[in-house]
Amino acid sequence: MSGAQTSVDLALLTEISDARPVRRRRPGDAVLVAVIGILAACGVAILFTNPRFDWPTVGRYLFDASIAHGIAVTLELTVYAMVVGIVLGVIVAVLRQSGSPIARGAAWLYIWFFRGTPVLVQVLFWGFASALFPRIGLGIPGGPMLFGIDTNTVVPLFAAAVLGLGLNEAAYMAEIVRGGLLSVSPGQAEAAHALGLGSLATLRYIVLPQALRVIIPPVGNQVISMLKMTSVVLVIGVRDLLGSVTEIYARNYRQIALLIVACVWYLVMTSVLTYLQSRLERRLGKGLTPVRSSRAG
Amino acid sequence: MRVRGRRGTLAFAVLAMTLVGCAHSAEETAADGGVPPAPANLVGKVDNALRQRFPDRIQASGVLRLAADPSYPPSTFKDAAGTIVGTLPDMATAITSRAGLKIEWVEVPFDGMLGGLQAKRFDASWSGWSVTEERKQVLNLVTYEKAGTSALVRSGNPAGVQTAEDLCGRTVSVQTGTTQAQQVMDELQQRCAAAGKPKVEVLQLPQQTNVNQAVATGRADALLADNSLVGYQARLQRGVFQAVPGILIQAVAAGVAVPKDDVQLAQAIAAGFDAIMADGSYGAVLARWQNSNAALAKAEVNPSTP
Repeated sequence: MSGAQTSVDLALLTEISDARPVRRRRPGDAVLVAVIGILAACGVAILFTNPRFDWPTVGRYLFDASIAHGIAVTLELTVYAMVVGIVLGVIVAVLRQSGSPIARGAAWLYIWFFRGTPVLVQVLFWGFASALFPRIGLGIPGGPMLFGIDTNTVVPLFAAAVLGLGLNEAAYMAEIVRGGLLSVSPGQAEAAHALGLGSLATLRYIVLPQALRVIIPPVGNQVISMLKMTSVVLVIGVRDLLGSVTEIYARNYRQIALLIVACVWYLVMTSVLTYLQSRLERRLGKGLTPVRSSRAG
Repeated sequence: MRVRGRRGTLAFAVLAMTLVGCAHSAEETAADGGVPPAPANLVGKVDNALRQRFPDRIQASGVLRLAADPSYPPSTFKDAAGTIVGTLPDMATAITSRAGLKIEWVEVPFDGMLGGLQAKRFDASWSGWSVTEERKQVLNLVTYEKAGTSALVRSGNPAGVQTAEDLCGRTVSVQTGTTQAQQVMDELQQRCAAAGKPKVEVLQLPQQTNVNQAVATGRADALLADNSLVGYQARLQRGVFQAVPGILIQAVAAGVAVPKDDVQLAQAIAAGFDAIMADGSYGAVLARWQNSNAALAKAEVNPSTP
């Protein structure tokens, strides 16, 4: 490398550093902006000019007490079903990875059944479980029952809804967790064992924290999906947000306005969840994902 | 082959019965979903006084031509052999046997009956017409039962429901959007409040099948529905359900229809209903179809509407 060349390069670098970035012209952009702009304007205009949206009714019911009660039930169902789903899902995923072929088989069977049948059917099944098992209790298989309790007492309708949603969720969650566990290189667990950690401690302190980074984004998706999926419980008469809405419009026949009320609240709740999900992802991804703020500063 | 096939079906039926037996401890077998036996007093002795009330042309021909729409069990439908059966055909049999007449059924869909009556294609429309002012303007309606909302409970009536007020404080299932979920339930809640009893726990479900299932599985103590549907379910699944005879909410009279100018026939039919109400065969017919709470004390021609 000669001295002359270096000086030329320096001059070029100075020139480059003085240069301002100029945006490349894209004539297509203007057309795209115009089309999207017109469509958006049409959309907004329709919202305001079509009286069939019946905004006064939407406004009247948006903060109605029975709608608020429905929202509370929807949120409760989401939380409980996700807790059941996550706890059971982690257990099934760990069993699926276990050394025992019987444990692996049981976990596979669980996922096969609960992922393979529609959640609506599972909710109906739990709702009307006493058609199959009128009493639940301890007894000799094929012989007499030592003691038993009425199934409807053991599994009230709300619990049936949580079970239906949660057990189905656990099957999906197990696969998500399994994916996360597989993403951690086996060397990590081997190293932990070499340091004298037991299997549970290895899982708790070494594998799961690293797997979480892979697990969290799809779990966020599942939470949002669950929030909407809870609406299937109306088939067994649990009055969630959609249940409250259908009961109101069965009386006043303002179906569209009330479905809009439901959509508004579902969107509000999913928006909050989306925001929380992105915060959580950023926190767990520290040091791995590119930090956006550095470009701005 | 055929015999073997039958045996297979039989084995399956026995298996099905065993399963049903386990689930509901049903006394009735699943195989018997068909028509219950006719009451012994259905066909009666000819009563000449009753016969003479009918118009001369009918006495002369000895035939009463009745229009039926056999698509509405248990009111009027066809059994496995294709015979028209149900509450209304039974009542027709009871009346005509006592009047010494024969029935000639004319199958007409319900929406074609008004035109057919006016064209005199048959003597009477033997269907359930709810009595309204508009209908009384153009037809003679002879009332024979009360339609309304009644209650279906689990077989054996474990909650001991006898009257509408017994439903207060209990879980009652209704189908979303029906009159039972709205006006009837509103009235029931008012009656509970008036009686100083706790409110009805309402379990609203979007499908009638699941409303039935809620009662079968004990999620609800009772369901409220149209009394003909309640009677039908009670008859179809006798080991699982039973109707409550003492409950009929928001009753409306239903009648058979006769052309406006044939007043004599309308009165003759009313006399026929009165005769079978008096001798007990009317009650036996309603009991046969589990619809006893529909009973009227007296048939009327064009009664006033509430």
